[in-house]
Amino acid sequence: MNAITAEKMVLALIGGVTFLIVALLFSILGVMLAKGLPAMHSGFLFDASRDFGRSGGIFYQLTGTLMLMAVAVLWSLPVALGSVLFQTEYLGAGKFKNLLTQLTYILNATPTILFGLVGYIFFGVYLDAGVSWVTGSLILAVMILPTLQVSIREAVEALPEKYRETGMALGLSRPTQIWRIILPQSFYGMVTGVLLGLARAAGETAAIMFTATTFSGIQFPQLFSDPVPTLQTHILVLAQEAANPESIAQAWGAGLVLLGLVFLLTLAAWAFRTRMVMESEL
Amino acid sequence: MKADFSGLGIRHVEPVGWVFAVMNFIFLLCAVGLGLFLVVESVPVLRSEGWGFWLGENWWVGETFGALPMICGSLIVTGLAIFLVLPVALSGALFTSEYLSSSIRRRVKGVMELLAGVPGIIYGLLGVSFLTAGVKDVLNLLDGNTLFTAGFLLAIMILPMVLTLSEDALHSVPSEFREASESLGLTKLQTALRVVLPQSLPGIVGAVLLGVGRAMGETIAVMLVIGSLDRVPGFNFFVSGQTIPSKLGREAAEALGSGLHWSALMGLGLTLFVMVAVLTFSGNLFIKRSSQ
Amino acid sequence: MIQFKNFSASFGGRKILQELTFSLPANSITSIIGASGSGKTTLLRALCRMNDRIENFRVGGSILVDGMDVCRPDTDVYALRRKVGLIFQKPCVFPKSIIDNVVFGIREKITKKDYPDLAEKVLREVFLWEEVKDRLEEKATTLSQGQQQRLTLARTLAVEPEVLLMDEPTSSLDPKSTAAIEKLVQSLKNRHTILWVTHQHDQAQSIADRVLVIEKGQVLPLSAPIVRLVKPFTKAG
Repeated sequence: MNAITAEKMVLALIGGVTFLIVALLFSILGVMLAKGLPAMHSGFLFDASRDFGRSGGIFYQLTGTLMLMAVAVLWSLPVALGSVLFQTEYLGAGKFKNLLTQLTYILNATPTILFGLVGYIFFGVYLDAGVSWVTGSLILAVMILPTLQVSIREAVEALPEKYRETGMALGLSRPTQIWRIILPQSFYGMVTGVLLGLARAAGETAAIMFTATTFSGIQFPQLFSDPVPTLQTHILVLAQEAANPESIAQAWGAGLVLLGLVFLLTLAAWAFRTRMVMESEL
Repeated sequence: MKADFSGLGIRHVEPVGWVFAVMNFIFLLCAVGLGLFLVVESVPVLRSEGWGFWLGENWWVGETFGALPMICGSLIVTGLAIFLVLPVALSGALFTSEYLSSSIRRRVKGVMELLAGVPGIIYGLLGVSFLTAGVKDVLNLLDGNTLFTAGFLLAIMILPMVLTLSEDALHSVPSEFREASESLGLTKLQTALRVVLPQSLPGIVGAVLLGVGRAMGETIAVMLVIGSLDRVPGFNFFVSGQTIPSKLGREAAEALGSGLHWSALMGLGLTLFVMVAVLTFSGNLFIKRSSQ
Repeated sequence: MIQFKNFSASFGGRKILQELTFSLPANSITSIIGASGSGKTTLLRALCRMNDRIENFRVGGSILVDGMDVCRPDTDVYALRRKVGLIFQKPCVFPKSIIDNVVFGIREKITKKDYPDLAEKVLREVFLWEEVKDRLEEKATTLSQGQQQRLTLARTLAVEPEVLLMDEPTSSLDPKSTAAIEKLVQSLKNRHTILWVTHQHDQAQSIADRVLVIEKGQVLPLSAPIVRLVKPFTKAG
């Protein structure tokens, strides 16, 4: 009887903790909505910001964020796809392959600000791109490389061996096998990877705040050497003016938009991953 | 064979394959280059400071660079975050995996996984607006920007990820083990604690390590709530401090690209990289050993 | 047509096939029988170099197809596999339409307007045309197992191989489909050299011009002492 009572108490405890966790996380979402929605006046998404961000909208910050993450994926996708295909299709199991896999994990675990530091030295100084959106997109491209690689690799490796073997037995050359069997079958994995990569790039602040972005002075970059305003930097600067209620209100609005963007990308990625599982079960 | 790469295990490569090989080489360059640049760029400050770079307590730009306050700050904040998150996340994972029905479990997991992707800047904004003031009032401090605040915020930030990954580990234990244990008369909780938990320990350690890594490397959220004061904290966590990433975030823009100050920041970066690497490596070693 | 000379194969130091020397005459059906794990499948896969991807797989000696040694590293494996078609134990169709499956192996070599003619020709060869002629655009996965296996055979025939290797092609089929495939093979032997691997002694006897037995990595002609092998194996491994 005693043991059963103890068990019930422990159960109630961990159940209560779980409930509190879920409640806490929902309250975070609730706060974001409660604080962010009031800032969403009719032109919030489509007006330029005014008065150092204290009024107006976030149009150029939003376009800046979208542009940085999209260009980053453009850089990153060919490298991710090519390197995964090389590793899975051309490289036999061995120390070199293990090393490459380990490097992907190391890159994934590396604190993001280090991409900013090293990326600035390499792209900004050595390649002379300076503090600019080009530097920022390249830094983000390296940062999301492991995200894309992992998704694409999962998709390629989920391809049933029998399809490969059938392609081989029909005498298809390896490029043809890749083009006709591996790429179509891993298409949804690629889309998942791209969406998760976009989400990761959208949420990143540290790596680009001193290498690519600006708070004021530029709306949309005209040159390769121009920095770009982004939502992340906008929120960061406004959040540090905690004493000024107008700034904070605008920061909440921008934060809600950023959060919505990240959630949207993540949910889309899940939808595509589900498709991938269904396709591979055919 | 037209080309012999047998040492590397590369099979015969056609022209298209060379394109893939080049892409792979670019990836290799990115990964190796990252480490290499951190080391090379740190050389000037290590030359001028020697071991004193890691042992020095003072960071005075133009005079001396000592990283000890930031190293201590990083360790304390990360330690606090883990200490706070571990019991909560494990309780949640255990309850979700062993007691919730599969439909509710899926929903809980969905929320956790979605929240695991919330950007650090959002937590920073929440921290600045609520947590600092809350810590200040509740603990009756002069300033709410403290090491504890940063640790607490990081705990909330890594909670969804640690919980959902630990839950994955628990849930992946085959149900035969649970049935076998319950058929011997053990209660559900005893089964969970004595059978399921030990079996999934490697996975849980992996989950926690990922959380530690993320906490240790987080820049923005910490930078906004830690107070940014370079000093070696004693055992009082309720004072302002500094972590390596928050220091980097504060000073990278002003030191940009040149001089000893920049080299010192790269040295900090290298230190952070090594700390995360050692952590991950020892964790992997543990996982390998315990799964044998 | 096909000659094995002192051919051996091993996997990670374990001998699977040892010093095989025998030959298969052109335009005939040779059947190889043997128990699970006797090396039948390895023999077939070695013949079209399907084991290249497997680490620790080593071969010795030689296999000559039309006088060309397939084991040499500079062999064009893709040309070899087009010359030597392999039919798997379980039919594997791609999740595409029936006609896409038929032309899968030669899409690069012919133009799109030739697809229907080619499809009709090879589908007739495998007696599948009448069953699928009105639904060529439907997914191939909707076909029955027996139909799928005949479809994979048509797909291989479209590549115009000279040699057909069949790895227990009927073991996952019902009796009716099995009979259809057995009959089909007879009609193919005028133009193809066929090697049919099975574990069913009676099937081997009834379809083949010549029966070989594989046991413990050795190939022997079917003669008196082998009768003890002919246990009623139920399932293939």
